Amino acid sequence: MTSVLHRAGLRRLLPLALMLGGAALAAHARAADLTVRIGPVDTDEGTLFVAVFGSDAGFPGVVRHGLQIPAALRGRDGTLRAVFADLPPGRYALTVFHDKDGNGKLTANLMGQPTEPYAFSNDARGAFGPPRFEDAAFDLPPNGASVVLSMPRGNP
Amino acid sequence: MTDDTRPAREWSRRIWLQAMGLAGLGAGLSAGIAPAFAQASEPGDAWASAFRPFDGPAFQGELRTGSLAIEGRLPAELRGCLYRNGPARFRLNDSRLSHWFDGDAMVQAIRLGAGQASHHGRLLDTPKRRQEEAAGRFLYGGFGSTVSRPRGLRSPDELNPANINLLAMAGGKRLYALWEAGSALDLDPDTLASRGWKAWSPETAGAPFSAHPRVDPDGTVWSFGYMPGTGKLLIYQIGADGILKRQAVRELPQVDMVHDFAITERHLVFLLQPLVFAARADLRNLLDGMRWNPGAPLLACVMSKATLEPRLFELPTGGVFHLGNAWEEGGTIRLGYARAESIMALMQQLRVDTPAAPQAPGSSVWTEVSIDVAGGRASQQMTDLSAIEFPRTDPRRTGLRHSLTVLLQRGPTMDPRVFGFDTVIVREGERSQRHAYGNGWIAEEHLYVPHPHDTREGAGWVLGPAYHWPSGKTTLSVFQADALAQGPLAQVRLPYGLPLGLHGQFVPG
Repeated sequence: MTSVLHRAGLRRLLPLALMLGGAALAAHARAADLTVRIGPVDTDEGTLFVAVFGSDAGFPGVVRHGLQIPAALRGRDGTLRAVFADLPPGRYALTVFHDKDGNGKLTANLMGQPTEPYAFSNDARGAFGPPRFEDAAFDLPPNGASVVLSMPRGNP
Repeated sequence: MTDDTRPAREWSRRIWLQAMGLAGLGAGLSAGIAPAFAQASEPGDAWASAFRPFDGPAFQGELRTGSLAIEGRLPAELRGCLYRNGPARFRLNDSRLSHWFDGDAMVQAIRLGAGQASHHGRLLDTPKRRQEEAAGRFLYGGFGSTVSRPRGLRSPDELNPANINLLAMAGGKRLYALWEAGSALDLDPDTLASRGWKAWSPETAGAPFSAHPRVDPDGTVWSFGYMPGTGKLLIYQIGADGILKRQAVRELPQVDMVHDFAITERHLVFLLQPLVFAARADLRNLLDGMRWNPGAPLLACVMSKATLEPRLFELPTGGVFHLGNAWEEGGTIRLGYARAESIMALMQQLRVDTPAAPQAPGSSVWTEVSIDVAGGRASQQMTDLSAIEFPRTDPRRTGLRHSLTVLLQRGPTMDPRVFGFDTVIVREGERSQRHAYGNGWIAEEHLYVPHPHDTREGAGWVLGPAYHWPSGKTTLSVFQADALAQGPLAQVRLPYGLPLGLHGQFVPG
């Protein structure tokens, strides 16, 4: 397994990425790396919570495979890069939110609407609720894939 | 620029385009230039004509005049600014919005003082407008329009046009443009420039804020928010200092569309109608998911200001957009509202791309409600006043007993091909005074402005705009509140037509 973390600061996250993304799936003979570029992030404060889903089970609320990345590790262009290593090829969807207030969850207002920046793969958006897994899903071929999670500027 | 007060001219489209070409050469030259070809040649085009000048590339987002021509005399004590809000722009390149509630907002500021009047209007800067102008097309269906390839949402404020009403606070130093499914938009009261969404607290950031807040005589602002399908009503209490004092969520039935409410000295009063929203993935817009539940009661929901605990009272089935002022007499709450059998048909007919929606406003009846809070009973009496809407009262008496109610009415002689109202009413007790604008006119909301030195309601004024579609021009009329039937004291003639709008507020100055 090779690291695809290009920013020096992210290298220390690699073990976590492997543990969460790879360890549970290491038994698979064929494995692909999923490279995720996230951002831009508008502050060094807080943490980005990235989750990968291999099916619609639990999507998007129940996270089984996830990464936490300090926003301070953002590059000069405000983006971060992370890898889910050694995933079985297949269909996946990603979610991310920027936990700015450090409470460990996607903060919402009193009506349940998110007040921290979040995004889905494919830039999927809901209309009257969150998007479906299928709206956010993409193919991960055996030779890996790169996906962009483009974050809205400021709070939603 | 010296032609600000130039008398109205019927410009041909070609002349207009030439003028705009010249305007592009010099900054500020567009001020005072009227958009052309606004006038309608036939009644079926009356509504569309009011919006057409704001749809084309010729309209650059602002209109401004110097001192305007006035017929009659403006009262010397009538000083301040009438701010009005409403959807104005429905076309972006080849894409169109069809529902009246969905157009990009334009705020009008008509400043009155020292017997003079001027107009300044500005298309509001919103994230929605920026996104859509960047995309070159409309991206969101919104309330009742349908767009091709709609963009999904991350938050309601992405499609918030802030196009229904305004809230002025701090003596007019703060001004907010209001939608009802998202945040209030903070505006500069002088330039009408947008300053961004208002978050009253971290817990209410991005949450719905009503288009009809009510202001206690002490300046306390009460507002609410609803989100279709959630069964929740969010209550805001904001001090006169602009600081949020209280926020609370209450679970209630029939809160899928709550447009207005009323307050008394001790209570908040909501009329919750049997309109049900069901979300589906294939909804083109909000209205698509709304269904009327025929026969179900209208629920009067009374909350004490102290506890915000709701109590429900059943009224006969019916629909409502707007309530008048409410007050308490002993243990009884009294209020009036514009009652419709159902508001579904009206909502579906409020389209700007079809020529007319003839019967719609004819069904609304001014209806008086009594709620015996301790006795747990509510009843209502329909008055003989029908085809009415847009009730307004003396802002000094919000929540207190008042005597005058200003309304718009559709007169019996109004052309059936033209939607809307042509008559202003001042109702006092069972008695009503009327002013009919007559053929060719569409009246917009008229509001009550108190006399600054006289507490009598009759001493104040009633004012509002009306659009004359055969000439494509808007006129602001000012009436003595207790002598409406004698006709306007003064009429301010604008050199152009304004888009037919929704609600306004007067800020004394």
